Amino acid sequence: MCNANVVEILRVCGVLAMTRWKQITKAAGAFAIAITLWEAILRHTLESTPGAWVHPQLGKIERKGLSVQGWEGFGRIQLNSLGMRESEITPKAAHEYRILMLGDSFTRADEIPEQQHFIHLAQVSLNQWAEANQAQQRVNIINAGKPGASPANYLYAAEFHRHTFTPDSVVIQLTAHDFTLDLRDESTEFYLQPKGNRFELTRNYQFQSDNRLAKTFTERMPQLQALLQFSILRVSGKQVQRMVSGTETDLVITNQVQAVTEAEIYDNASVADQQLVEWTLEQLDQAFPNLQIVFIPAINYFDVEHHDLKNEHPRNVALEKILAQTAAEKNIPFVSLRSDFIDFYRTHQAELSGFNNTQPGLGHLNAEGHQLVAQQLFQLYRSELSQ
Amino acid sequence: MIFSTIDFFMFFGVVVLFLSYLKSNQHKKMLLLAASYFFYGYWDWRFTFLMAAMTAINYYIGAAITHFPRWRTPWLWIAIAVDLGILGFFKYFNFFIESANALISPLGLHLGTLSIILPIGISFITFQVMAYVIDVYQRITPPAESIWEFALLTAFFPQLVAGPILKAQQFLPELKKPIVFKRTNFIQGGQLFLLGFFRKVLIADRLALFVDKVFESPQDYHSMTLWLAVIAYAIQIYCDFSGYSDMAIGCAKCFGYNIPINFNMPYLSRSITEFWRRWHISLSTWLREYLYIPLGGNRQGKVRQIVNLLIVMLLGGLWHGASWNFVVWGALHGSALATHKLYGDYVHPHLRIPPYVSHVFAWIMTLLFVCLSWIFFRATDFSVAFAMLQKMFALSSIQGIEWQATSLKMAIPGVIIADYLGYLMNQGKFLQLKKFSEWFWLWFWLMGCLLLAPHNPQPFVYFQF
Repeated sequence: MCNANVVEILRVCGVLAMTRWKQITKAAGAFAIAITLWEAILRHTLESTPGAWVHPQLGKIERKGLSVQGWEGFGRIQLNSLGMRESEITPKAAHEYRILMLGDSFTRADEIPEQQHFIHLAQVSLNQWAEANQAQQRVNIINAGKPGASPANYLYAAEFHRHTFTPDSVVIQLTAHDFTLDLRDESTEFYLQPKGNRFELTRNYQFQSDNRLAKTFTERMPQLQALLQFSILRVSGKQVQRMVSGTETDLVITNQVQAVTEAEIYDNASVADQQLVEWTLEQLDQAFPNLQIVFIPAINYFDVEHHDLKNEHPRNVALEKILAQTAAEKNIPFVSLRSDFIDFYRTHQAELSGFNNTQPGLGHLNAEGHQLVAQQLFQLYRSELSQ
Repeated sequence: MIFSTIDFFMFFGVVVLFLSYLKSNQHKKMLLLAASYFFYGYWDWRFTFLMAAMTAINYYIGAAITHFPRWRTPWLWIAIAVDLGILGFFKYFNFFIESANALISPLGLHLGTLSIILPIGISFITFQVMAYVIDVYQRITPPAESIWEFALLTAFFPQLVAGPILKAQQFLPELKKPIVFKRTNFIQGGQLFLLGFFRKVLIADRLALFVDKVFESPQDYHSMTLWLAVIAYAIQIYCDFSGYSDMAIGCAKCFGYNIPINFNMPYLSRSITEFWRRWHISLSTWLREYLYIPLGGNRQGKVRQIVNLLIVMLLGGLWHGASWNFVVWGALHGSALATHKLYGDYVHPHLRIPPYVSHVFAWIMTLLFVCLSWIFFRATDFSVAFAMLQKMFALSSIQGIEWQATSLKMAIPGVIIADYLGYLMNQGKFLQLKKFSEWFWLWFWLMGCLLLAPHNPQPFVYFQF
């Protein structure tokens, strides 16, 4: 009798254990399939990266492969072995006029399809013009844009760029935040350290991504770093980081307008800002042949009807003026897209940045913005070609 | 504390943990009450005293009505006066002063306003305690057995700040049930919560980024963008509020309590009357039972019925917020209800239209009216509302920024899926988590909410009421 009870209890426990085990297996299997499906969805729609490595001169760059982003617009781009949005670089051909375009995420423009990118548009226009005018040279513009880059990156890799690409001309795309944020930010990979009234180019070998998950993996579990290539881990890591920190990271326009007088504009730039701009332009001019600068301003479109440079952040306005002035003093061709953007907005009432899944007027340049940049590049180089 | 934030998940987890350790049901309810007061005090602890005072006043008046039947009517009026006085002071004092100032300013007179902070969810709390006293007065429900029971009815945190408005006869019997955590309740409650989370975070919060921007400066946008923004707002407010209700019902279900549904696919309505049977059901029921019927309802002739409808909807509009915008919104809905009543009585019986044609036409007209009336609900002032309407109907220049937010394209299939799932859940069809496919859908859905949520959680629209 006693044995029969024990057997019965064991049988029930066995059935329960089997049932629980079956349930756990089902749940785990379903989880694995769900996660795989989401990985496939995210990889093709929201975020996919081929991973990163550290190049001796260029610093941390992405590996060769396909990069997908869907946070702004939708972009699916092929990166070469130097992490550039380009095919592999070949030696310069005869009659090739090679332009090297250096810049940050505005230049690489992950969110813009190739056919709408200003580099493609400018290259096509210039070559059509060259053909129509029987010019001997054909233009090839190399997109060396790297997200997060600043003039410190370009200076550090200047020699590498000159030797690798042998450019006839170099265009550097700048924004105000290059000077207000990036150049002196010691947490970035390359930055400038003030030394009296000069600056020292410094490389931060401890540089890491600002993604906490990536940081954690790098610092504590380097053997698991390969997992960061999984889109689901990267995206969920970002989401959790934002949930925990409570930071507002979706693109939102602040609409903060500060009116300043013309006299105040220069007051808003510190002596250090002026020194930084002057030193940087001087170094860039020395480092690159036939240097041209394209400046992409941040525009406050919501008050553009009364626009007169006064609606922007005063320090940005001051920097833009100093940049233009310094470039003129050093005979560096300098193009700001400000008036092009404002004229276009007034005519077409369309902003030059922002996409349907972000707010108009915010973020990176959209297709219209790229068209205007392409037109300016065309104007800059048409005369070069005719010579 | 917003349901869709990590703070709430931590709070809820701690509450469940402590509840599962307690043995006595009385202790569990006391803990739930304490947690509800903590939840309310998380915004501003000072208002917990206001809620406690309203609870005590209405409980003791309810008891007095039962124990001193000769004085029951004066007690009822005292309760109503106190409740409406509190609501009126906190919510409408400055509104009426400012409105009076607009009238008397030509005479050179000016009345001062007060710096009053609006207690969150005050309108819901007031209606809930008033409903209790009126029900006790009308002997529809017996008074609560103890003040703690009534305090929990008033403060029960899942529905505290944005409803559904619980009636004593519905929820007091629920509160008598012991709090026992069951797998079935957690599975069902969790799915309801997840459905609400999906509506709120993936649909409403995403649309808010588009809607807020367009309503902020409609003059900058193209007429088509304004139309899209109005449609987007209609979806946003529905998903925001019904999302909150789903989450509230889901949370309560985890404790074993059943809260009736508050929304029943309102945008499928074929008349404005049907819309109010499907939209914010607990409020429309409250307005019908405690305002429309006491005013005479439809028992005193057609004209009186129409007047009653207008009064109810005007006050219903004002209940939503201390602003003339809400009054106009209420007046529009009141007029539409009256028009529909007259149409149903005098026009419709004589029409010879195939039913499917009239159904489609009625659905489109109802949806169009509801969407357009939301403009007055959402716009910050009349100039914005009229500027939008002028531009939408090409009465002024239609030019401006053309922005077709991707979130709207995602929201329409999203809301269809959410409503279908909500419909299944209302039929009692939940995932039982026994089959592989059921686990798959749960994980897929959970991960979708985590991966696709926008990064800045918005407060629920109805919190302000």
